[in-house]
Amino acid sequence: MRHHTLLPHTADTRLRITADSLEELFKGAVEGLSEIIKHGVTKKKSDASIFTEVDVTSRDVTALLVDLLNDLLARDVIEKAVFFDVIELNLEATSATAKVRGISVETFDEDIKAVTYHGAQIRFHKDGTYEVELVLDI
Amino acid sequence: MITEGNLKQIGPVEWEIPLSFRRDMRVPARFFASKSMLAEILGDRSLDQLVDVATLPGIVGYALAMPDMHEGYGFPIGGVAATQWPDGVISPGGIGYDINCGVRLLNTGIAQSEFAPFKEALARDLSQSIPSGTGQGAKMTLDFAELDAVLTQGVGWTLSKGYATESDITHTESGGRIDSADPSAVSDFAKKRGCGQLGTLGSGNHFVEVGFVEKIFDEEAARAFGLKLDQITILIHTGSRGLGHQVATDYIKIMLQALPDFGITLPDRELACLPFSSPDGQRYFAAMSAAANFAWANRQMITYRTREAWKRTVGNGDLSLVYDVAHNIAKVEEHKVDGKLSKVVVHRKGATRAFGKGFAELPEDYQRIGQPVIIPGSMGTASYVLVGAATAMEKTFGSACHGAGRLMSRHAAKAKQLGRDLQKELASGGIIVKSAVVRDLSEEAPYAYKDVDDVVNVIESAGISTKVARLRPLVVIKG
Repeated sequence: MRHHTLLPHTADTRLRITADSLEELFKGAVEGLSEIIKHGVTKKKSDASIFTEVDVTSRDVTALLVDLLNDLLARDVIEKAVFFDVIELNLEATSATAKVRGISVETFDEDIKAVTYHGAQIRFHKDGTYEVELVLDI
Repeated sequence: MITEGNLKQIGPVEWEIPLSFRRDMRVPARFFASKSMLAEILGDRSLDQLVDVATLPGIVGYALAMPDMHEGYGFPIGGVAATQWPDGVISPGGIGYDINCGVRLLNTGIAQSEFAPFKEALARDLSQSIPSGTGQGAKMTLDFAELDAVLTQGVGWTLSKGYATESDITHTESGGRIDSADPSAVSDFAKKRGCGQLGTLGSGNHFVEVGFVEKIFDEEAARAFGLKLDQITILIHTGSRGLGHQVATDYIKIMLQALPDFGITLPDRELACLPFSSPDGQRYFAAMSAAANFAWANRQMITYRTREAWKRTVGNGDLSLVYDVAHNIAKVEEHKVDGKLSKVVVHRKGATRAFGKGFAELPEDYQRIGQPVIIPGSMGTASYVLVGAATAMEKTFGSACHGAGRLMSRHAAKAKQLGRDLQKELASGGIIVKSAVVRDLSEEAPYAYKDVDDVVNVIESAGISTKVARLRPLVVIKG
């Protein structure tokens, strides 16, 4: 189970993701980011025919999430694509690899400069869920 | 959260959060605002972020914020911080993701009445000839070798290709080029994001705005800047596009990894920083300088396209550059610290350099007046041209505000009014707005911003800069 919500922020956009596992949280974050970049894109799984592979090393798990999203964001812009469907994910304490499917696009709906680390902290709740809020610079 | 009770008023529009407020502060925090602005400022986290800035290793004087401040991430937007050179820190978060986002003002020499018949045609031409909006590519794609030349030479590259004049260079901050740029410090990812974006406006709050001089406050300075009442002017606001965004992303990550090696602990990861003199601090400065050069070349390419559109539609007028200022940048400058002239690294994040008269870098025509400080308002309201004053050197490391300052989130602004309704409302006031995506127009509606008149009045009351002219929009090409 994973879920993302958009929250207001004076200058930018705040994305909240909740999930019942760390892997789901990462997948939900990729979907949330992709939905902002191209509305409705995550409903097009059957069209997702291009692939990219991401390999990131970071200080901790929160930084891993931010770095992975920024890596995908750069690939989206460079390849004029939206990579939204994580089909393989290997998470370690300070490294992650992912294989992500996506679609080519003509235009984007939002020009996200970066996913920031501002106030980002993955939290584990007593009910077994994970949560993180990410501020996106738009 | 900071409350009014935590503030000490030290002047009619100057406030201080003393060193005693939080144990990790290295310097006090100061900001500029009228009493009536306080509630808005205290309503978001901008002052908490300013206190965070006051904890940066090597910060000198005060952590400063301008009256257009609002919550950012790490630094507040409208923030200024100077750190000791060479061993104080440099922080990419103190510059922002859109490195050298900035604004330039062109002067057409044409009166409003002479321009009126061509208004609609120019609006249409500009909207077609300047790539704007999300993901819109440039009319040219540079290979890495050519891109490296842009990153090294800045506006000089555009001059060599016939897209600029000598006068454009002398009327751009730093001559449109920072010498410390090194393209090898810029990642391939960043170059790939930038190679198809030279001469593009981008989206968000970026724009090209045709307006007119509505009021002159300082005849002498206006004359020096070539501004006359009723004259048509053009503002261009954009930055370093995806290339700059990626440079910031790359180096914030690098610096976060390296923080423990330097024993630096921070209240917010987005303040990631390293000593300016460290190898990665130097590489970031070289990459940031390259991105700044790209941004200046970008604004110059849009200037070229604007001049071409003007020739096709209006014909008359040479569209001379009044000045070009950076809003998001770090620079090594000399300022008085504890009464002694010292080299410092001045971070301006949503702040404009505002040097007074006699500053050697200024073009000869501005030497005895001071630097033009260009303050764009929101779409549909006024913009200002100010002139830098000596007081800015004493109080703000030679810095002023950069705009009206956001008041409302983009989401809330969009929810309040439909884009097409805003477009109609502005049209009824004589302002033509062209946008790649009309539904997003209300993100930048006037109600989403502070009152630019209030912001500029605070800057003038503080003696940081003084008013020269007020501009009113006629045509807005929104990114």
